[in-house]
Amino acid sequence: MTTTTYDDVVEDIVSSTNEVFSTMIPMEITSDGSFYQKEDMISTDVISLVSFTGEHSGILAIFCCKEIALKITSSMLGIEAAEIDHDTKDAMGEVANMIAGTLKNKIFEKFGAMHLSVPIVIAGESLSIRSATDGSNDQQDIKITSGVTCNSQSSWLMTPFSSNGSSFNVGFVVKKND
Amino acid sequence: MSKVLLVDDSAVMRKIIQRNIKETGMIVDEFIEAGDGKQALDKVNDDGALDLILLDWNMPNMSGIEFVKALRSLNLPNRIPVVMVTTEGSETKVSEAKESGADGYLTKPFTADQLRDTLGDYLLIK
Repeated sequence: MTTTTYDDVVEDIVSSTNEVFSTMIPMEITSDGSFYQKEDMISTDVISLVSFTGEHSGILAIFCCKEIALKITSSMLGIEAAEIDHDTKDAMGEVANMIAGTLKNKIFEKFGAMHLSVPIVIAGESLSIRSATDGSNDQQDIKITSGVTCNSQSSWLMTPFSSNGSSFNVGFVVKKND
Repeated sequence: MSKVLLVDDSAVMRKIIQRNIKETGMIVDEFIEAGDGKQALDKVNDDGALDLILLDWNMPNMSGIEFVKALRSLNLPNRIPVVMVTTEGSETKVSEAKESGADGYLTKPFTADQLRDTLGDYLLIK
């Protein structure tokens, strides 16, 4: 696997996410730059991810706290979601799916044709992701092996968004298949 | 009496599509739901008198494209229109869907206007 730079994907991630929210989720969001984050530093309540496979393999994931997952679900369904339940996971999966699908079409020229997986949503408290459990940790570790094998050397391109004081990150990691 | 079969593995998306159809003033008397292509084929076999099928692409068990191929191979006396409603938006995918027997194509996310424009050929509007 060869590491590929993908700074120039930020604009596409922002426009894809804005497109999804402006059409399907009646919620104002604002993007706020981007940064790289080692995956062993990620700690979150909800992870909603879609993997890509093709010439490149990658993952697009939404990382967010429980409050914003409930807020997104409430906005999508027009209900008052109070707890993380099947509807919340389903809604967050669809959001990741739509952002990934929109992004895929925008980055086709750079990364080639890619097949999208069905979304996977994991919810808990203080979730982290990494490839190996090498000691005791207060956090719950999750190994993600779909598309890209995540390990502590991988950095995610994080694009933060905020809405009325709450925030979430859209994460992206991709590698060229040798 | 218009009857629409919604095929999507996301129950949330099925709810959103139903709500948007109602909000845009299109007339549907009954929505039938299926979570994958296999369930959708069962629904067609139970009741072939459907006016429209709205179909996701990526689903477990049987994908949307596998479903539409299977549907067209049934050679039903009345051809049921199928509109793909999917995040797969590339020209290649659109062509593949149409060659497989889909009649229309709507990419998620969509606006109310895009939904009405795409489904307006198949459903009455108030």
